[in-house]
Amino acid sequence: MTLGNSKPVVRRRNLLLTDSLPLSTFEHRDALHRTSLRFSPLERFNGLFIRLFFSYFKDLVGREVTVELKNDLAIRGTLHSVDQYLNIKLENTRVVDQDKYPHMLSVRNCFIRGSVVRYVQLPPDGVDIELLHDATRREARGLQSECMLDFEGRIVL
Amino acid sequence: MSSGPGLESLVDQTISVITNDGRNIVGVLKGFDQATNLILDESHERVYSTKEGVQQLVLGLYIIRGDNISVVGELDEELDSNLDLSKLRAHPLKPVIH
Repeated sequence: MTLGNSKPVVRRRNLLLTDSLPLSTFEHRDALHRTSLRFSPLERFNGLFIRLFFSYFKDLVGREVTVELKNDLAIRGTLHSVDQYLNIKLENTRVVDQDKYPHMLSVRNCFIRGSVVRYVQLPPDGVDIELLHDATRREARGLQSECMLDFEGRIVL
Repeated sequence: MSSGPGLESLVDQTISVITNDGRNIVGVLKGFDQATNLILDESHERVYSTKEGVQQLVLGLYIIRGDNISVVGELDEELDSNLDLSKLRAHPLKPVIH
């Protein structure tokens, strides 16, 4: 592309796995495959901060939290464990509004599927805002330089 | 890749499942997988209503697809026997909205 001053405009792109442009279809496919070996399918799909939140929740094990679900049910309990899908296992559970939701009266330990969580309400002293902020910033910066771009410059994670 | 909590500790226990459409199904967990698909034996559904007590519908051996599961709770038999289901009045659970 040339402008009036007849200097060709070079658009810079961040490149990941190979510095030579343009990538052929096969090189592109192989490079993408190599990237996919680094990230689990879940990470590639969601892309961004799954790892960070997984580590964060692992540190919160043993704390009392309230999980609000997408069906408006709110369950209070001690965080027992969490997994890569951010499924949550709670012990000593009590439903927050037991009169409205007596459906779980005889349940004391439960497994909550990650996909159905709306909020996880944390104890105020359980959150180190600075640490989280820092970690998020680092993760975002790391991802920016690690993005894979396709032929048209679109981000392909 | 850690497998985390998992449902291993609940196998052969009586569990209460809440599905995405707001149903409550009670049964014995026989098997599960990474997608949280469940195999439930001796299962029955507990239908809650505001007009009459809890209705229990016998279902038998069920496979519940993981996409549809919200909560898997370990049913405490003692607590459950203390419940008088015929006296329980409640609105049915709301469906999950993503």
